[in-house]
Amino acid sequence: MTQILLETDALTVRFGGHVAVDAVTCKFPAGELTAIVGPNGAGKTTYFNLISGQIAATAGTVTLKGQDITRLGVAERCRRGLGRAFQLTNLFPDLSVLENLRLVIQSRKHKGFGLFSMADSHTELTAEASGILERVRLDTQKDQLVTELSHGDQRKLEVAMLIGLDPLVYMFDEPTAGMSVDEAPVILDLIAEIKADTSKTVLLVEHKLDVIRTLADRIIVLHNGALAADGPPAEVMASAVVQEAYMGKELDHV
Amino acid sequence: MIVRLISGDTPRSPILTALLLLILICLAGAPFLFEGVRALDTAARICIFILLVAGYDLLLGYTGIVSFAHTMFFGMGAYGVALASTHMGRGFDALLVGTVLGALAAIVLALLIGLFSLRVRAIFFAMITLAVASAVAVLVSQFSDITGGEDGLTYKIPRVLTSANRMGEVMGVKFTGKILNYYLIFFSSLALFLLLLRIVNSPFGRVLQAIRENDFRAEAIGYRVVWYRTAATCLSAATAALAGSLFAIWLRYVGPDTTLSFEIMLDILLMVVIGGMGTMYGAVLGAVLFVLAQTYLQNLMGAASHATEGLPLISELVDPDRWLMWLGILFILSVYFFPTGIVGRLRRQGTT
Repeated sequence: MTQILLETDALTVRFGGHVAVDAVTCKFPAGELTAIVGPNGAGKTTYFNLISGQIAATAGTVTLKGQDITRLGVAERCRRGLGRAFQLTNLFPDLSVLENLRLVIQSRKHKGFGLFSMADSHTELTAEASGILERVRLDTQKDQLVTELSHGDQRKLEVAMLIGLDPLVYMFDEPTAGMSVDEAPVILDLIAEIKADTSKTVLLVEHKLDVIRTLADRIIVLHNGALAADGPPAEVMASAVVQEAYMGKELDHV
Repeated sequence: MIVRLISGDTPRSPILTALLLLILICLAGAPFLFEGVRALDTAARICIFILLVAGYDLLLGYTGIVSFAHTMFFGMGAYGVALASTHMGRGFDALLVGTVLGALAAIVLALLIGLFSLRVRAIFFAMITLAVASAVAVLVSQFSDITGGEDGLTYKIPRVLTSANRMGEVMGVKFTGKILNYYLIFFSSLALFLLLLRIVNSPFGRVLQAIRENDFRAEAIGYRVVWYRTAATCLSAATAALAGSLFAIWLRYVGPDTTLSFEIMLDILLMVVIGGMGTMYGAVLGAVLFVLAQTYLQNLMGAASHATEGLPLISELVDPDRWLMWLGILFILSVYFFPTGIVGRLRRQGTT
């Protein structure tokens, strides 16, 4: 049996009286890409925030490689192999593209507290960062500031940052949102490449059905914060809940 | 070689390079280039304030943390030297012990303040530093048995570093211990400034900039932001304390007004902002301009007031007592016209 990398058990968060994520229990084995779907406000991004630690859970646990990480901070979870790319671009605006990516690799290699060496002298970081920038086709813009990049290029950098972390669990939050038709395939190919590595698991929040169809091994559906469906794509896509989520029918009536 | 010494952080503007070189030459040759005790005193103050302001820039400009406790750390270094020299008697051992203990105390206090308040929010840190700095200033003036209270402490430093030590003539100038003392301060400040320049260009410095830009994301890619902010606070406190020790060695006197006062804190803020935040070189220009203005603006205005004696309003306006008003106007104008400071302005000119 394949190893379970990530697991949430009855994971819940309440904001006042509103239950944003409601007792979601789910296992994510290595070598699988799970698409998380659901209508706007269903709690997909909140579920991500609970897993990566930006929001503290009200109840339930998050387990990474068998270890309970529910009480750990964001940085600590990242260090243990939980990598996250953000839905809204969330970069270091006044630093260059290369510098953004180098910061990620530097973090992974625990070199952040190097006080007396010159940052530029760490050529191995620069080399690795340049390699990743080539893969996402940003190498020609590497010396530009992030603020000078187009939206699509910022999205590419967002994905590059996640690849730079080399995590066990990749969490993509609508990676191709707002990208042009000719840019998106670059990112989707990269995700397919990551998926092919059987020691990793990929979580993908996505709205585009064609993307889900080509990439997903499994789909989970969130509805009003609760897990509404979980299974192979063909099965879930045909189910009533997904019809509801995408067609707007009321679930209660089905 | 030189590029390595300044950690690859070149001024990136011909005018800025020229200005920095001019400042370096003037400070390095101050005892020989300028006459008089006052000029040397001004040069020493400039060296010390460059260091003090550069340390503050590490916090404000690079990490994006506002602290009001920088003069407190400055004072800790100064009082360290003063207390050690008072209790151990004059000697280099007293200077060394005072400097080391002052810096250690500053680091420990910065660590405590940082860990308690930087967890929450950066603005909370600003308030805590303000409170702690005020409390320390009150304590120093209350415990007059130890600190000399408002009168401060006067003490002796090794004879070698005073004007009583005559070492003959160099280039037509009497080379005294005072000049030796000046060079102690000059080279210490220079070395520490270059060290700071290295730190802001190190992997650690990059993390600080990342935190300034987007602390949320810095945390998300695995940096424990609290620890980095606290470390920056400790480093900044240590440099302030060292600057304070140098100041104490130079003045042979410490008191609340010369080291702990809130006015100096404001001066430091102005120097960073006028020079240009997050550039290190801004600290140099800011400190030079400000200390020169503080020392000579009054003289200049006195002369102007004298020359315009016949004119009613103008001679009033340029009266030496109004120097703070003019400094204020200069500050407003510089913030208005150079929001990124002098260095930011010069660099932008260099690229366009």
